[in-house]
Amino acid sequence: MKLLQVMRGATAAAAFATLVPVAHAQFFMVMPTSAPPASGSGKAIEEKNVLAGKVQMDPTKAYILVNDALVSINTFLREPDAETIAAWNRDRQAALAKAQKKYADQLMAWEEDVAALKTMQANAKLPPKPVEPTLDTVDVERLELRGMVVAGPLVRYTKKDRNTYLQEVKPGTYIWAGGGPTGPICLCMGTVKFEAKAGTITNLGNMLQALPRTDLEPVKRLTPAEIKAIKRQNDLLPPGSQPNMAVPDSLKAWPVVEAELHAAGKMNNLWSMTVGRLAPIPGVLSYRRDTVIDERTGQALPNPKLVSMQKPKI
Amino acid sequence: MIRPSPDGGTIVIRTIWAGAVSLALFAAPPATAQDAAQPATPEPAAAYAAPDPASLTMPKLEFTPTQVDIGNYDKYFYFHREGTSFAEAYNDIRECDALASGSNIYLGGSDAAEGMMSTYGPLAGGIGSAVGSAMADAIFGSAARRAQRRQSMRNCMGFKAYKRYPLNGDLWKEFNFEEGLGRKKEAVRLDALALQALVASGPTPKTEDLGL
Repeated sequence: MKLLQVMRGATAAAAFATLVPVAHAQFFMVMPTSAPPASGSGKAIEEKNVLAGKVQMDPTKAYILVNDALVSINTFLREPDAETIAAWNRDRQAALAKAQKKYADQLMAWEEDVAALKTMQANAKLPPKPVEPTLDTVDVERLELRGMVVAGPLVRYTKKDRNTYLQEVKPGTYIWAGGGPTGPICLCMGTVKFEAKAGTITNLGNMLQALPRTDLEPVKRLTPAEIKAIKRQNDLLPPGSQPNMAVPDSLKAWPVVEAELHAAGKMNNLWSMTVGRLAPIPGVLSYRRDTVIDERTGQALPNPKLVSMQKPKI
Repeated sequence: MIRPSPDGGTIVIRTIWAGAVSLALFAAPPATAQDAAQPATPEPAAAYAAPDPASLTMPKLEFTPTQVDIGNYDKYFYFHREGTSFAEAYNDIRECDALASGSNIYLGGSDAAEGMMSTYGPLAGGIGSAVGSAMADAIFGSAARRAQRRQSMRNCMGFKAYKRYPLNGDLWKEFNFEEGLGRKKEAVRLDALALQALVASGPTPKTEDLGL
């Protein structure tokens, strides 16, 4: 009971902040084999290059700024626009044409094999017939992963008082996918997104850690070690903290806007991580069961049933 | 009530387990009683064709718990939600299985492990090195994948307002499966998922729920 009372004092911000050490603790252990390159698209910028004049703001690019008391990693998925979708469709058509050519050869070989086997033995066990490729089965980079950006953990903009990450990206809307493909949690069942406009730094500060709130139900499953870890996080980011939106002095001349978070719906478990969702954010994100609610409009987001990305074993 | 957690027995297992448990903290809380009374809107479209529940036999759920059983409730349990049809439960279980299956943990050494060595000290990096081989993955990976799948199912079904109830290992194995390094055959999976849906939409359990 005493432990439970301790945890009742832990708000979402504190509990949420456990992501950071958890992600870090597992960073070296959880390496999804299907994960794309950790760098993703976009370019990480270092302060020394801005101060030296080697890097200047490109008005055609957008910039995402994140800060954290610890070394962190954040993955953002760019919401596909018409251009991205068109490129994806072109790639799929090209891959399908290639696969169909291969399929025709495989089918011919299979027919020859079957005919030969039947000639040799009436009840011969026949090899499985090749499966005809379709647009949905061809192997191209997934639409959701086109334009993925990973900020951190290695190339930091500043690292003295606080770790800051500045990422140059293609303008668009970015969905926060969590601690990155090397992190342990998939925000499959609800997260947030924001727009990053050209010629502007969109400042997330540490709002992704500070804003989400949770209650105490999961406390039932905490161990003393985890309670200690959360307490340590409470010290770093006290419950109810306002987000730290500090902008390094070296970026004062660049246009900066605070990120406006919006609810984002369910997505597939792209890196086969443990299933989770972002804790509710007042005024932005809530849930009715597993339906994501956009608190800015009060409307429920579409809740399609997700299907497995795994190949069935027959 | 705070229950003691099972001890993984080694640093590797323990670290993974602790991480998986902490996910519950990171994840949003499971649906509340109010959520349970209020169906989600809009009603999700049915994506999975459910079998005829009349063709299924309700698994046995009653048992007299031993201390061993109680210690294994993290592994052996079933889901149930009041007022849920078989088709709804089947849809929910299939979706959660889709999200949770194919856990892709790879306990390999990497540049990232080396980075951790410098950032977090030799202990962290040392653990990375200790498991930095395919052999380590073969030894520990299967258990880690099974644990991750269990955790994912608990989170996903918890979000959908299902409660978790205790079982013992023998009864659990009658209508459940675990996936470690390999994937079970589709027919085996679908049969088990259908029975899980039958239980999830069946009579109200007589035991207390286990929480998330």
